[in-house]
This record gives sequence, C-alpha cells and structure tokens, in this order.
Amino acid sequence: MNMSGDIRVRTDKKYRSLYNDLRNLIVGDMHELFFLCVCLGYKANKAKTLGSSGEERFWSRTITPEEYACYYAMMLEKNNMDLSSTKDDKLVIAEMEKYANSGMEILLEDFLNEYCSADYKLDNTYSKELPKALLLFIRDQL
Amino acid sequence: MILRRITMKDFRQFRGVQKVEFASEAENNGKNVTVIFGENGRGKTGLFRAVVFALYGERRLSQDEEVEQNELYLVNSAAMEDTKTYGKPVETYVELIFRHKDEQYTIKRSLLGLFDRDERIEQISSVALSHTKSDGNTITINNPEDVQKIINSILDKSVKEYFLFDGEKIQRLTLASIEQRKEVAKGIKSLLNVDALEKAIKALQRLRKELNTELSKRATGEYAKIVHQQNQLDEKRNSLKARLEGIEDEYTRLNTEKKKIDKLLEEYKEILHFLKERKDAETQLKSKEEQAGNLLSEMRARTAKASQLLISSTIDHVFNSIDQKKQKGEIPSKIRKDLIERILDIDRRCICDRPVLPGTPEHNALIRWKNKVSDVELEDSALEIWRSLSSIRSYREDISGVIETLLQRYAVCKNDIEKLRKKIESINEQIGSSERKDASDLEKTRENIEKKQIRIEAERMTTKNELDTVELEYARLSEQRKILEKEENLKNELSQRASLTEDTYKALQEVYNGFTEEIKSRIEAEANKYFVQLLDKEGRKTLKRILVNTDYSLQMIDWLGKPTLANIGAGQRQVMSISFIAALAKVASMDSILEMPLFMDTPFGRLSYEHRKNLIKYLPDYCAQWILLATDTEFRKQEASLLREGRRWGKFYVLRSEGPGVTTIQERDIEEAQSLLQENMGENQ
Repeated sequence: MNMSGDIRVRTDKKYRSLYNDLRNLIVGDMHELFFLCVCLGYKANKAKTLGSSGEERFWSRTITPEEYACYYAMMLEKNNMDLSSTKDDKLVIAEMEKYANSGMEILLEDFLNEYCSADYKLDNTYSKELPKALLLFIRDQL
Repeated sequence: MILRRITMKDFRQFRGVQKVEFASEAENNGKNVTVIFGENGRGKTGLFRAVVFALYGERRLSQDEEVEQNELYLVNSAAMEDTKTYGKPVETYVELIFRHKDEQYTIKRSLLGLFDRDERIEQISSVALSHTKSDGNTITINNPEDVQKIINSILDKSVKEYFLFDGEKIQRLTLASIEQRKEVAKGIKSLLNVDALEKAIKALQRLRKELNTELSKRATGEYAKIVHQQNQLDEKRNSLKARLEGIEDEYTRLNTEKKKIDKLLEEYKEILHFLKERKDAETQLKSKEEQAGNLLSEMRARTAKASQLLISSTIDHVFNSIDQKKQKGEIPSKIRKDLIERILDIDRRCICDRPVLPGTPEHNALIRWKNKVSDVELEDSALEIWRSLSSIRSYREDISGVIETLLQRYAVCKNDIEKLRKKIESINEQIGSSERKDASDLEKTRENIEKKQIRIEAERMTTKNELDTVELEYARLSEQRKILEKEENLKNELSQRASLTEDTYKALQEVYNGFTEEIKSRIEAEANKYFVQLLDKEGRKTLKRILVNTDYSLQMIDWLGKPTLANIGAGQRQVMSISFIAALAKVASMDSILEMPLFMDTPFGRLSYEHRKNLIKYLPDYCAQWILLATDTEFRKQEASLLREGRRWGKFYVLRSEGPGVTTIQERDIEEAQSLLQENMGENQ
C-alpha cells in the first residue's frame, strides 16, 4: 500500500460548486465525498471517464488509509486479484475518478435531486437535514 | 394658608357651578372642621383633585399612577356629551379662595374639553391669581410660572402631600424612597426657612474659594503649600459632592425604571405562569435543538464509514481471496522471486551447486515456481490491504448499529421538538398580544436593576467616606494654617479676609447644623407627643417612639429599642404620618399652629375605632383647619357624635348623585348628620 500523497485527485468541473457545498454539510472533507461517490459508482458498476472535463479537486494525501484500502480492494476485485493492479497509485486514483464521476451522477439522480437545482446549486432551506437523509439513502442502497 | 371657598364648574362629577365654603376659626367662631360626606364614587376625590389642580395645575394625583394619561378626564363627561353634537368646547374651571398671613388669594384655573373626531382632548387654558394685600390693593398675576412661584412660597409643591393627602397614600410617607426623601427634605427646609441659611453657606463657599485661589497665587513657602493643598481639597470635595449627586440621580433613575417594570409586571401578573411555562418550554426546545444539531454532526462524521457499507461484498471478497492465498502460503511466498531469477538468469546453478540449464526439468520446475510467486513489495502491499480490510470488517456491524441508533435518536428528538413548538404556539395564543409575549424578560431586567442599585449603594458609601476624609483633612490644614499665620505674623489683608470667611463659613455651618438638628429633635419630640395621644392602647404596648432621621424619613422604635417600621400595620403607619405632619406644622409655625389646612381624603379606612376616636378628638387642635372627606363606612353616627362633642365642627356637606357621572354638593346642618349617617356596627367598644 503505497498510499501516495502527491496525486491531484480530479472530478468533473461541473460538480465544483457541489463538492464545495457538500463539504462540511454532509461530509467533513472533499475526500469523503469522493469516497462516497466512488463506492456508489463501483457498486453500480459504472465508471465514466473524466476526459477534458476533469479538474483537480484535492490532494491524495488527504485520503485515509481505510479509503485507500477500499480503493485497492476495488482494483483487485476488478482485476481478478492481480496484485500488480495496485502497484501504481496514479492508475488506481485514475480508475477511482471514473467511478466517482458516475457515483456523483447516481447521487444527483437518486438523492440530491430534491435538494439541488439543475445547475447543481444546493437549496439551503433543506440542507440542514442532509446528513440524516444521506444515511437513509445509503441504508436504502444496501 | 387657610382655605375659604372652592367653586367648580363642570369639573369631574360636579356638573354646572358648585361650591364649598370651608370652616375656619376666624370666620366660624373657632370652628375649623369641615366634613364632606359621600359614598364611594360620589366625587370626594374629585374635590381633592380640584384643590390640587387649582393650586398646582396638576391633573394627576399620586394615586393615579396606574391610570393611563388618556383615561383621566377633568372635564365633566355629561357636559362633554351634551356639547359633542355642536362641536363646541366645554370650559371648566376651579376657583379656590384662601387666606395666607392675613391676605387673601384667589386662584382660578381653567381647562377646555373638546372632541377631535371621537378623541377626547383637554387643554389647560388659563390661570389667574389675585392677591389682595392687607392694604386693600389687589394684584392679578397671569403668568403660570409666576403664579407657581407664589403658590410654592405659600405651600411648597414638594410638601403638599403633607397637608393635602389621600388617606390611603398617607402611610407612604413612612415608606419614602431616596428621591422622595430628597424632595421632602428640600420642601421641609423651605417650610422651616432653612433654605435661606443654606444659600448663605453656599455664597460663603464661593467666596472662600475665590480668596484661597488668589492667596495661593500670592503666598510663599509652607503657607502657600497649605493654601494650595486646601484648594486642591476644595476641588476634590466639590467633585465628590457632584459624584454623590450623580450617584443619587442614577439611583433615582433606576428606581423609576424599577417602578415602571413593577407596574408592567403587575399588569402581566395573570400571564406570569404562562410566561414561566413558555420559558421552560423554550429552554427545553433550545436544548433539544442543540441535541438534534449534535446528532446531525455525528451523522456527518460517519458518512465515510457508512459509504464503506456500499462495497461490503467487495471488501469481503478481496479480504477472503488474500486470506486464502495466505492460508495456502502463496503470500508471502516461501521462496523469494529474486532468488529464483538469480538461479535462472545469472548463476545457472542451484544453491546445491547443481547446474540448471534451460530445457532441463529443473529449469522448467523453477520457471513454474517463478510464475507462482509475486514481488515482495506487492505481497507486502497485499498483506497491508488484508489487515486494513480485516479492520474495516471488524467494525462493520458496529457502524450499522450506530447509524440505526443515530437515526432513531434523531427521529425521537425531532418529535420532541415538534411537540415543544406546538406547546409554545399554544401558550402564545393564550397570552395574546406580542407586547405581553415580551414580558418574560422583565423579571430579569428588574433583577439587574436591583444588583446595580446595590453596587450604587456601595459606591455611595465609599464616596461619603471619602468626602468625610477630605473634610477632616481640610479642617486639619485650616488649623495648621492658623498656627502658621500666627507664627509668621501673616497679617496681610487678603489672608485676613480668607481667614474671616473661613471662620464665618464654619460658624454658619455650625449654626445650620445646630439649627437643623434642633429642628429635627423638636419635630421628633412633638411627633412623639402626638403619637402617644393618637395611638390606641394596643399600639402603646408595643411601640415606643418615632425616630426622625436627618433626611426627615421616619423610623419606628419598639419597646425593645429596635427599629420596627417594617412590621407595623397600615393604620399605625397612618397615625405615625399624621403625628409627624402635626409636629412639622407646629415646629414650622414656631410653636403656635401653622396656618395650613389638613385636607384628608378618606383617612379613616385603615384605622381602628380607637385611632379614629383619638384623631377626631385631638386633630382639630393640632391644625388650623381640618377638611375631612369621608365615606359612609368610615364616618358614621359615632364619629359624628364625637366630632360634635369637640365643638370644632363648622361645616357639613353631603355629595349626592343626580344620575350617572353627576354629583351635587349640598350643605347640611350639622345637627342633621345623625339622621343621615349609619350606625356603627359593634366596633366602638
């Protein structure tokens, strides 16, 4: 587990304000929201390449060892337990970015649609209870 | 001041023109008592109000504290209604004729009542004071300020309540607050002519300051030092006195504020329990909202861990795969990959020195081994992943449990919040207006005011002590200065003038102190004489004497020599106040009877029969004129009989109702009183 800390993790630029708004609202930091999106995307087996729409969002040094362990686990499972698939963290993170991209789409479609406008702006009126709503949403996905 | 006649036109209940002639010793063969009798609501207080209005232009009495300004009308309501349709104003007036030091005064004050749409308005229109001097010349003054000056010189506004009082309020004299005491002390000094002395002292103070300033400029050596120090002390004394005044003003302001709050609190008494209930509910709501906020924060902190649940199967699958490899010994490999590679590619010999050449069975076997084992780095990494996944798996159950608990606790909390909100809403509906809703902070504001007053009291004590120290130091320096003047034979004109001024100031101060102390002692002695006469037997057993303080506030001393004012009843307080007033009147008039009326509105209500009897027996001799406004429950056959026996009763009036809001004043013969009044019901024995 290299757990490289010098990688700039990227997300789609259209989610810039959403990442900013949801930080401190439903998660403590960006990496947690990214992790949630990765898990949602991976569970749904959806990975959407970022391409030119990607922009750097946070440093990989903020990712926790547990999150990294989960990312490696996803890589291993996806690559038939080929240990070498976890060797290059840049590749691991790049793969996770695709899952996170799809995961955010799922989050928007199935959860945030009630709280968010078409241009991905959060409606503050209801945002207070989002942590509770998110836990219920995760519970429903299990 | 001896009242002769009051004439009222359309004033309060008195419709049309009505008048009362007051009995006075000079004009009624020594009879100085007037009784104005009327049942409650007939206008006794209206008459009392008319006297106060005529003399001082005051629309409100002390008893009107709780009445709103716009609810108090002086113009007769029936007259107002009659002219409403014509849109004409109603002119009302009160004319009071009185005698003072053998000269006659007539004061007439008018008021206009009118309707502006449906709103009733009253405006003071004019005042005129005619003064007929002993030489027969009459002057008339119309300027309200000049009129007030003359009236105040006859009966100072600040002491009017000593002579014109409402029976229910008279006991308040014993409960005077600091600001009242200050005003009363000022009024009493004016009544006793002590204020002239005070003015002289102040003038000397100013002169002393001027001379000392001049002297400090010219003097030299030790003498100059002393004069300079005295000047400094003088400055300090003045600033301390100013500070003391400031403290007292602040105290007064706080008291006024406290009174306002008390009034509001009284008004909101009926809703106090609602306010308390709401406050409790609001405190609970706040705590529940905080709890809900904390629960949401806890939920947010668990989002990342909850996300792991989404990939539980992946975590299990990878964990199990690595675990199996571990079980089989594939991870970590028993033979290191770099060793096999060295045998195959570099040494081409096994560790037992046997050659391993390509194509041989040994070589092929080693190739198979090589393909099975991984990099050391990757194996280590896999083991780390295995350990991390193991840890994640170990608390997975806990995470699910915690999430469920958090969601449940939040739901309960939200439910409680909803209930509390509904409760507050319901209380607010019961309380009513938004103004009433804000009343809950009043208690707290009142508490803060009281705390502030305690601080101010402490500051006052400190400042007073400081002032005493300054005075002592000043006196010490004065002595020193005198010795120096003698030793150095300083006899220039300026120092002699300063010294003379200082001596005169001291002498005058001593005269003043001695005089006020003597006056106070005499008032106290006289008050106690009257008190003993007026007090009932029961009271004489427990109460010893009245103590008059230097600010003319009163204290009651019991037989054990302890202050007991707080423990005595309202009736005894009234007797105590009346004794003080009688004493004040006597001392102010230099041991004869002060030419001042005692105008009492329903004074017997709280008195025992024995107290009443004593008052009726002695009061006509204590004062120059006694005007008694009495109700049917306090002035009955027995009281009338006692008053008649005293032979001082000169006039008797009865207030009669002539329909709603209209009262007429009818003069009756004193002999008729017995047939008009009620029997006393077994309370005279």
